[in-house]
Amino acid sequence: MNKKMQKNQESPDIELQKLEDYIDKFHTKFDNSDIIPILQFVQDIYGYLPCDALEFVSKKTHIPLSRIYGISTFYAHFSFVPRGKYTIKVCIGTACHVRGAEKVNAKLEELLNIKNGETTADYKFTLESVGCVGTCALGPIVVVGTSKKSEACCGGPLKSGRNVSLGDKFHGQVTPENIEEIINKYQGETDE
Amino acid sequence: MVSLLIDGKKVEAEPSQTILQAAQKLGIHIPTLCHDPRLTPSGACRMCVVEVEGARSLVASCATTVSDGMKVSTRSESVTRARKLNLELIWSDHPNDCLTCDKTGECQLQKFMYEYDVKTSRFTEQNPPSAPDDSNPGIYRDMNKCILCGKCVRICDEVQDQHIWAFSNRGMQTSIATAFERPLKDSGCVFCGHCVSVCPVGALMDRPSAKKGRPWETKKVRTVCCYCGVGCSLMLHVKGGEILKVTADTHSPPNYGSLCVKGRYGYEFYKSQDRLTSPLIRDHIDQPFREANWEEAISLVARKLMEIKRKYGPDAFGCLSSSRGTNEENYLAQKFARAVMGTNNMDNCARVCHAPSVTGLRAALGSGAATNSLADIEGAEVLIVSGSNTTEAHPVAALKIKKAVRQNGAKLIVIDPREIELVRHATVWLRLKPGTNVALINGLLHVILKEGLENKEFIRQRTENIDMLRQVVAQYTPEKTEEITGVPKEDIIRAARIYAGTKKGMIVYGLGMTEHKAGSHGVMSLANLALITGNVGRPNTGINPLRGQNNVQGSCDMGALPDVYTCYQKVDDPVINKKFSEAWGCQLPAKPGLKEPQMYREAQADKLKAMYIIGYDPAATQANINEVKSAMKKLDFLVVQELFMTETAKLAHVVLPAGCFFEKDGTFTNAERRVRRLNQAIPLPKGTKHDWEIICLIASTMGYPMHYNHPSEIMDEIARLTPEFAGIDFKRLEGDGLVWPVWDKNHPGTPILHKDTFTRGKGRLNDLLYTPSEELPDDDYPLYLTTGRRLYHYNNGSMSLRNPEIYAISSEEFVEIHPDEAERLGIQTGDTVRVTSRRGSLEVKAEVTTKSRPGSVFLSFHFPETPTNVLTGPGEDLLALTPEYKVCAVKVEKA
Repeated sequence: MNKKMQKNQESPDIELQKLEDYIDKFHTKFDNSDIIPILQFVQDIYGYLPCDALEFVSKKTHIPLSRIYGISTFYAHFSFVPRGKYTIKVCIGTACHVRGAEKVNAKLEELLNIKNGETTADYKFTLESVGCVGTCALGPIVVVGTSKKSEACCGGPLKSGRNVSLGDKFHGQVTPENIEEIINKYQGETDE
Repeated sequence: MVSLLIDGKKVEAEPSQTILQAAQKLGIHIPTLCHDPRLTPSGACRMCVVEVEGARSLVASCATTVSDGMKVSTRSESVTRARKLNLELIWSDHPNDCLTCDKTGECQLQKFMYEYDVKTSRFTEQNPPSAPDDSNPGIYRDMNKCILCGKCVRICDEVQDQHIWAFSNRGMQTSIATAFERPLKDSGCVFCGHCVSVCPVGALMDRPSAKKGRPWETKKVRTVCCYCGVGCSLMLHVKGGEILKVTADTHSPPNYGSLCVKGRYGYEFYKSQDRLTSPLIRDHIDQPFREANWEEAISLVARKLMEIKRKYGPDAFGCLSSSRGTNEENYLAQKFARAVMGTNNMDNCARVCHAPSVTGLRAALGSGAATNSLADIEGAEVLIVSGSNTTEAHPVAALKIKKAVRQNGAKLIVIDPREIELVRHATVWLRLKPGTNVALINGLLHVILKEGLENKEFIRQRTENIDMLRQVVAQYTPEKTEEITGVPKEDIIRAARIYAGTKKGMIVYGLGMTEHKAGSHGVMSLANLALITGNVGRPNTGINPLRGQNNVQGSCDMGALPDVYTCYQKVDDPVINKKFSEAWGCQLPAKPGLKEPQMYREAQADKLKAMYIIGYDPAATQANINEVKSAMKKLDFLVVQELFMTETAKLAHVVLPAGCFFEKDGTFTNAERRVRRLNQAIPLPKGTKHDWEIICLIASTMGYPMHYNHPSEIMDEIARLTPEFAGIDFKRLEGDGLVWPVWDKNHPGTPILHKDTFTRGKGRLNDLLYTPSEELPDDDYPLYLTTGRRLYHYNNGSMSLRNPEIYAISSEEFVEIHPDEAERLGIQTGDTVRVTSRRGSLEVKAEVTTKSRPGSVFLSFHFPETPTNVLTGPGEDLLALTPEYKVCAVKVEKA
């Protein structure tokens, strides 16, 4: 009870209007199949899944929070912590692995001064590894994606899970030597 | 029906049945870990795999339906190999902790490892360690022991509808979690313990029983829960005179394995340190109590009562018995008042809850009891739930309502000023102004009659007074009804059409109907609704009060009322009076006695001199308790029989320590009239006696020999004197009990009343005008106060607050106030506020919530620190004198 009280007293530190508009555009009777598109939208507008936003979704849609949580934790795509502007995904699939993905990863950790799975203090980069991305011939692969996409990029409300990768850029035949140059390109980009 | 062969044996099954169900028909055992007949199959654990001839691979028998000509083998070599492999895989990730695990002995994994002779696993070098988490009240977790069968997730979703658990993460990291891994208390958990009850291993267990004993060390005693009128069947696990845990039998009505938090975790109060264990006496209530032995206390009571009877006459005495007590104790209490004291001043705490049901239903149908069984709820097409926050007050009945709606597609009409949880499931929610029940129901009747939706045949054949009813309700047009009740007229019309449009319409109601100035009228109005639509006398219909305390039905049935003996046989009927006088060997008074509130008035007027109160705490739970207490203080002599030093006991001259329901043999009668055996599980604490023994001792000392060897002998006497109980005896009650009337020893009981004819002959349509509440909000006291129950506590809290697990979840009261008022008054959740009525004032924390209707606040009466009843009001039911707890006027200020 006391915890609940405290929760209510907190002023929401996130803007929920956009989310509300989005959910209102859906339908009135929600079911489990609506969860993923909504979660993708949440992650798109906030860059991650803020707890308050998920509670709001649960309240609006009557989908239990536990279920939303379960699905959010199932997919690697979703994150509960704020992420960097760019997500650097180092492919550690078999082909990339034998071509030295580990070394690329180590170099990236050194360059960014974070461990794999972490985000830089300036929220510019999040470093993570992924399984095979399906372009083994070009390995080692590093995929750099913007986690926070613009409306233009999404083309309005998301319709399926596929456009998640719309903002991703593939870099093939990456080596510990050329990775710095690639990263610097993103590093140099100024915020719009 | 299709025919198939299982292990060479032929069996017929419905095409919708699974192979597992068909095998169970044959008595063939198939091991399962994730199956439960109450849940949709998930096929997750793969233990139930069987070989089906022609199938490409082994199939999960719990999730595969039968088909004609199927040939199934449940014990082939490949099946056994698969199960063994499966067990190895499960074991590879399970702590090897059987030596110290509380689940040992009833762990399904352990059982199957034994059955399939799997000693260890090839897939692991070292089993993970146990990871106990006892940070939650009630529920002990060890997620390392979890085998991910998902039963906890599914039962919380499908049966309890609470959705607390989910699978989180994936692959090897998969675990069962609450949203954001929050503690259960902050996750919305209601601590019903369903998840614990289905866990096949030691991942979820009852916290209070941890490390206290293994299953084979405990004695299992079946009894009946005493926390509400649903009367759930309990299984107590007892070791060395201590209750270790409570479970429920999935085959036993009315709860079929379900319990609420009070039933499951409300069992520790009996060993509370402050339990009364010696008679306490004093000459004057200003003096402190002193301990006395039983002989001294009993002879003091006997002497004093005789003295008062001699000096002031029998009617200077009043007795109040308890709806928490057994039928036998209530019977003896009224026998004591009538035969020993010679007065009909006999009442019980049903007076403050469902007395208007008895009055109202008797006037309409002839019997003051629920017409149908609780199981009928699930099959109803339309349910009206009126004035009942079922989810909190009768949680297990609420599960049935929700099941009817969610799984069987029933339409639910909720009549309640508060946004109770059931509103979420409602087709129509009629959010009326408190106290306008009769007007609203008249409005519904108006629509039904005006649109010709009534059951004309039924009205003609089985009811009377339709013409007067038509005349009266004619004025309650939807427009006028909206004006009085605040319910939009469209909703009134919609609800009326829904209810009138079904042959399976069931009305369930609670104290929101009865605790009003027009409480009895409200009940009669609901009866009108059932009568004009013909929704009575068949399965899934009728009008059904949900009784507040466990034995409200029984205490009234037993004649603990001022005007009737057992089963409503009137004291002023000469034939009946003679029957009881002869049976009890004395001339009984024929004049009906005082109702409870009248007793206090007579005490104030110095006419009532002594009271004997058994297991009832009116000094906390009656309305306007300051008045009640001052009346009690005027008594020459007050005897209170109790478990704890309650507010009422504090005003007594003699306090006699009694046994609680775990310590008793006897019977309770639940809301569906099911009389059921209570079995003594633990011994009486030293120094206490059974309520029935105490009554017998006092009576005998007063010169009226009253002797029974066992409560069963009391029931035999009741059966001799009560036609409806004629067929009841303790032997027949074993198992699931009997639903009265039970006319003779071969009669099976009567789950549905009024089948062909009403108890009173024809059903009476009572033409009733709306009567406003006694005290309405005004400029000085601008808010309605409504009182009621909360999920975690019971009545005055004397029992429920003494359960550590429950206390850890809910330990204080808060006043619910709507955001509109809160904003106007500058109140935020958590603020301490002062609530004041014309009668009293108290401080309490506020919770700002839209659950409250604008203009209304809500308080429960469970917490001694928040004596809500100093506020409650002057209103009382016109016929039954039940206090109008649901409406009085208050003001709220920031403290």
